Amino acid sequence: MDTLLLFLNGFKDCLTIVNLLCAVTGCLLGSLIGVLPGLGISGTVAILLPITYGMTPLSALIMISGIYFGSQYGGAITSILVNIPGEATSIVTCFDGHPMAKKGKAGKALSIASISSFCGGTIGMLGLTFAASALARVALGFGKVEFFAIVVFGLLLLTSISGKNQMKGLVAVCLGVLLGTVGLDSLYGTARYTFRIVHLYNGISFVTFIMGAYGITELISAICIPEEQSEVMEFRLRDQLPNRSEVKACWKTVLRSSVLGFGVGLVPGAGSTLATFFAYGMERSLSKHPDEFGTGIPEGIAAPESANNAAMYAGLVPLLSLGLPFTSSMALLMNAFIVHGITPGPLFISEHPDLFWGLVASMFIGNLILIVINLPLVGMWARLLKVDFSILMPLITFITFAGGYAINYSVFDMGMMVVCGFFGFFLGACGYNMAALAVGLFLSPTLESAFLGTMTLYHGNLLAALLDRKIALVVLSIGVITFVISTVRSLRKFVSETVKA
Amino acid sequence: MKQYILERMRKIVAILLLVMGIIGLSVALRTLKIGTFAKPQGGFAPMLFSVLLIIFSVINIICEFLKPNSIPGDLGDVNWVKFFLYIAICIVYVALIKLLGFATDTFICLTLMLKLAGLKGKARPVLYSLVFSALIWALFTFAMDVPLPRGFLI
Repeated sequence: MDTLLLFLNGFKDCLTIVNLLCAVTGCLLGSLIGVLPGLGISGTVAILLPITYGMTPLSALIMISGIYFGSQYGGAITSILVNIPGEATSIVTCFDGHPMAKKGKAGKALSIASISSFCGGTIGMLGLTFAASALARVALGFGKVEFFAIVVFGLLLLTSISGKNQMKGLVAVCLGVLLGTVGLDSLYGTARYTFRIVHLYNGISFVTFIMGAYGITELISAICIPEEQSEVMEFRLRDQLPNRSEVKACWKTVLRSSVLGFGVGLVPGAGSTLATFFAYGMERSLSKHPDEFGTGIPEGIAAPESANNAAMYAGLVPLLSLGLPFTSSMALLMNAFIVHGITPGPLFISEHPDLFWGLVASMFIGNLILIVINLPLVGMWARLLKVDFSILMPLITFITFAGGYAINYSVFDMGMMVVCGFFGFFLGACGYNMAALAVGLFLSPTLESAFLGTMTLYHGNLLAALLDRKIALVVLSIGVITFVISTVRSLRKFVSETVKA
Repeated sequence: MKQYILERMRKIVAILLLVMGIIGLSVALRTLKIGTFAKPQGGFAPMLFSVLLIIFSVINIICEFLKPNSIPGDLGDVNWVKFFLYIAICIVYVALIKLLGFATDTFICLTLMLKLAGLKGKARPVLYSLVFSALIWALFTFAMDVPLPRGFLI
């Protein structure tokens, strides 16, 4: 009862004209900047943070929440319209979002993404509201062995769900993980695969990689492959909203994916990214028509979008309850709180209940305003695809280059984008799943640290580690079983195709 | 010749990936400390991932050689002149950006790219390029405070 009262009190504090204006401005700016390739959530919050300096803490929190959720939605917009995910969490949205846009349903895809994000965010917020402290303790109980098991599970699942050829998925994951080891080793500081090139000491930037492998590759395809124009687009608002059958198909997906996303999002580090893959994989395995996933169906967008928003709230659990940010965007959010005199930590909820509940309410308001202002704007974003491709694609190429440069102020990164685009084009054309490669690269440092930590802790005996940590054993076993089943299916299909040929 | 290479592209790519794995493993073994299972060093993970890449690549190559030759995906429809010109413009853009400065380099390369993408006329690509390069430059310089490369021009 106390929680509910404090929660409602938070809303009362937030619902003023000034605060609502802050929320609208934050959401709009976040979406607009988040749409620029390369900037992602961290970049957008970093760029727009100075705007909030002169505000009261609560107004600033509301604006930062708006920027945060707005930039996440901005990533979904580029994933759907031009197949360029701004963040690792938006990669899965490309699987069905872009094919749906190609079918002439870009508006519908964007509105499904927007509504699913809102639902995922609301469910995540409820989890954060009522179980923050207890869940934070559970999350802290995760050690190196559990991390290792979850990351391996994620990668195995990824090879099973992405693409038609599982062996190519495995090769892509291994290549991604190997590329992720480029640079200085985090434990001993050893330079690996740097070939005395100073720019490689920090490793291959994930954002640079996806901008090249997805962005440049997509632009090459658009310019160099004569393609039939996308089907006629509908621009009436009614046609851009999901119809009754689509809502019916998606609501269970949204609920399941949000709950799963919140649970997986508690895993420190790469929780949000893994949540999108797990949700997509779960929905595909539960679906009556799994083969339609990847061809542009609403469930394929609803699953990752609701999961990543719920996971974002779950990421706030260790941040607010324990003062531990586990991702760069969470660290930046914590920095934004500190700038405004709010230090998250174990005593934050008990010492500043007004600010904590104000923050929770502000996030809900940010999420709500995002859907209110973005649904009418869906048509505007979708209309971008009506712009002459001979103008749009070169323009996106150079905005992508500028975005790539802005990450580290490095011309080397721009060159790296071209290299990734060139090779990504051939790898993609030959059936290698770029999502598997990208996520392998993204999870490589976490996997390496967890694996080496486990081996050191258990004196090189991985089996002893798994027997000692039961959760890890269960997670890894499920991963291996799923993988084996999927491999057997894939092998049968390959044999029958080869025999036919 | 083009047809011959395209039909064997899947095999070429599969072999290239195996070569990458072999290079990764040999560099790891020659230049990095591997350590032991109980006390792994900086080269342990690269070695392990290279070995996995080699194993899966070998299986992948076997699968590819069991299939008949065919042109993969959309590669048959690619306009290769445009493809190599696109890559060339990107390389020239990156190579000249520090020398010419962001705005000038973007203006020149965007004009070329617009022509390559099929925008008709002589004045239109130049005009669009002028406006868009100025807009991108202003957006990143003033709105986002990004210090874009400055050459002897801007």
